[in-house]
Amino acid sequence: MLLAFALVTGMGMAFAIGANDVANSMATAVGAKAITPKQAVIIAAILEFLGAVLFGAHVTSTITKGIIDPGTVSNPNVLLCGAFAALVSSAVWIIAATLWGMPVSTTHSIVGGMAGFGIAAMGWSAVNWLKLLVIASTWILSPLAGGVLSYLVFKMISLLILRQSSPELKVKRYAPFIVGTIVFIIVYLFSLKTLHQSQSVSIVWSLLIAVIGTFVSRYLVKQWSKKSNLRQYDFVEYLFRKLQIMTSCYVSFSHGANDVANAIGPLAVIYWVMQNGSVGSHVTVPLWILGLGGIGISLGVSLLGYKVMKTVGEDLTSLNNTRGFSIDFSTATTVLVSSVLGMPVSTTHVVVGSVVGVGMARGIEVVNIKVLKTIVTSWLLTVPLAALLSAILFNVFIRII
Amino acid sequence: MTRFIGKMFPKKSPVELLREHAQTTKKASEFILPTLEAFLSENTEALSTISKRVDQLERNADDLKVQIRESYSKLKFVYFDRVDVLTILQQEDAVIDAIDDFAKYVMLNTLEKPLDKELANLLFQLAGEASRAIDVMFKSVEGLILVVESSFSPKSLQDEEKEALEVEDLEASTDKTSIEIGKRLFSMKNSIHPVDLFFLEKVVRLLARIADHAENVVERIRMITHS
Repeated sequence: MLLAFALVTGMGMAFAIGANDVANSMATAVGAKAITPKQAVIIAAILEFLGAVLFGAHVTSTITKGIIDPGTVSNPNVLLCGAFAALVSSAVWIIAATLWGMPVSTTHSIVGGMAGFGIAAMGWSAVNWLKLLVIASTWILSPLAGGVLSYLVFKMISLLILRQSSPELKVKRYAPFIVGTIVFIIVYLFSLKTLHQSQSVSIVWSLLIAVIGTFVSRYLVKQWSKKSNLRQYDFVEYLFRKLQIMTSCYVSFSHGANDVANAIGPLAVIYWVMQNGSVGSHVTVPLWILGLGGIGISLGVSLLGYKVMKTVGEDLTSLNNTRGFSIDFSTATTVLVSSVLGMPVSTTHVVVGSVVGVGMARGIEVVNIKVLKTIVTSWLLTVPLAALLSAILFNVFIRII
Repeated sequence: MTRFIGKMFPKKSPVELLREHAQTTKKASEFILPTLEAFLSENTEALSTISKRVDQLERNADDLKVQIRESYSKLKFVYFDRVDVLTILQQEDAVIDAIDDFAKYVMLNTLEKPLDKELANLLFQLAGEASRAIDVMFKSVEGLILVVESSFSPKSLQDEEKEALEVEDLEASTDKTSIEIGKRLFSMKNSIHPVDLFFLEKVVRLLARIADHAENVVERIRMITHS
């Protein structure tokens, strides 16, 4: 019965993440007209699922056993109630976020939720404070990393392509290498962290596939150049629009990899305890649970995400493709690297950091730096409040179950 | 978290709005020569129609001006210094205001005697120069978008420089024409009605003012692209 409840709540969480959060991670691609809201929904539905299944285990592992060591809990019932309380408290937060339009991150609420039940059940020593500190520091570092990366990426595009006397020729030359770089990063991380291959094997495979990607995109660039009859800078933006289709896939993939844990982390704990009847330090995340989270996110995107994407697309009329690409590439890379390091970070916050980075590189005009302050305030509030709610819910559930 | 990222960007880029403002001014400038023609041929009906259309364009420009000002009050990272852009906007707005003043002013009086052909030609020449100055101004404002698109490439900055040089030539030419008209007008003090003389002198001043403000826009753009 509890597993059924947890499944429904977990799926509901994943659905809400898909409906709400994905719109923010795909906002720049839709806003820069690289993809239509409909295409964004299709890309997100597929790539979120793949990201969740292929890379989701790392962050899920941190959520399930990084903040609270399940091995320190002797009573399986405590762990069941605690994981369920964390899940419900997180669901409450995302509903609040949806209703009030607040920048509440599900990542922060699930981390706060897990810590909250741990403290309520076993006291302050139950929490792995060092790990929590590392996670909290990534919440500052990830938008910063996104910002630095987007600043550098845009400056590079600017120096190598935009500021050149013939930007059209330069973009034809460099675009395939950009594709190659993205392919290299994804394949390398997948091989190293998900398939657990050695460094050298990962490098060889990723280089090989990246070279193939480079040649394929070189061929495609040639084909597109034949058809195109645009002025120089419009052609640059046109090619980056094509590249942004790829980076929007990359963002979706990375988002699925990182955020699926917010929905299925506690679910994995509940399933593990119910299957094994006992608790231990080791909690394995079954692939079908990752898949379930992925399906939940994809359903959320498909059923409710379209409307949000459409509105976002109408909001960002001043964004063009070179800038959108810089934001998306930096966001996706930061989130994917965080994912393989097992760090739960907020994709939306990384997007904000990346937007500021391009703004500082004089690439876009940015309104309202207050957004950054809101983010800091929101996560300063979300973690303790989610922890408190989770602790209260835990005390209720332990009496009922 | 719905539409959270959208809040970080301006609804419309202020530089794009500035271009729209310049485009509206350019549309209004297309009425300068027909206004002068209608005035000299005493076609009051045409003057009234033109004046209404210019007035509407001036109102549209005012709406854009408000949008740009509001946008700049919220912007954190900008392509150009906000004081510079607002100065450009002020000058750009002064151009369309002057066109509107011109279109309305010529409706206030009809000349006692038709103007001699040479003076009329000089007036048309000045009006043409004012329109050309606005064309250069529009090109220069459009160039700002290219400067941004190209991430401040040296070539786009050079193009802005060329427009500044073009407007310098126009400025010299406008001054020369205004002085020539002034001299000619005052030399006719015994054969022209005194009210018409001062009326025409103001017409010349208005046309010269249109050109002056347009030239100021280009010069200011040159300054910001060279800073």
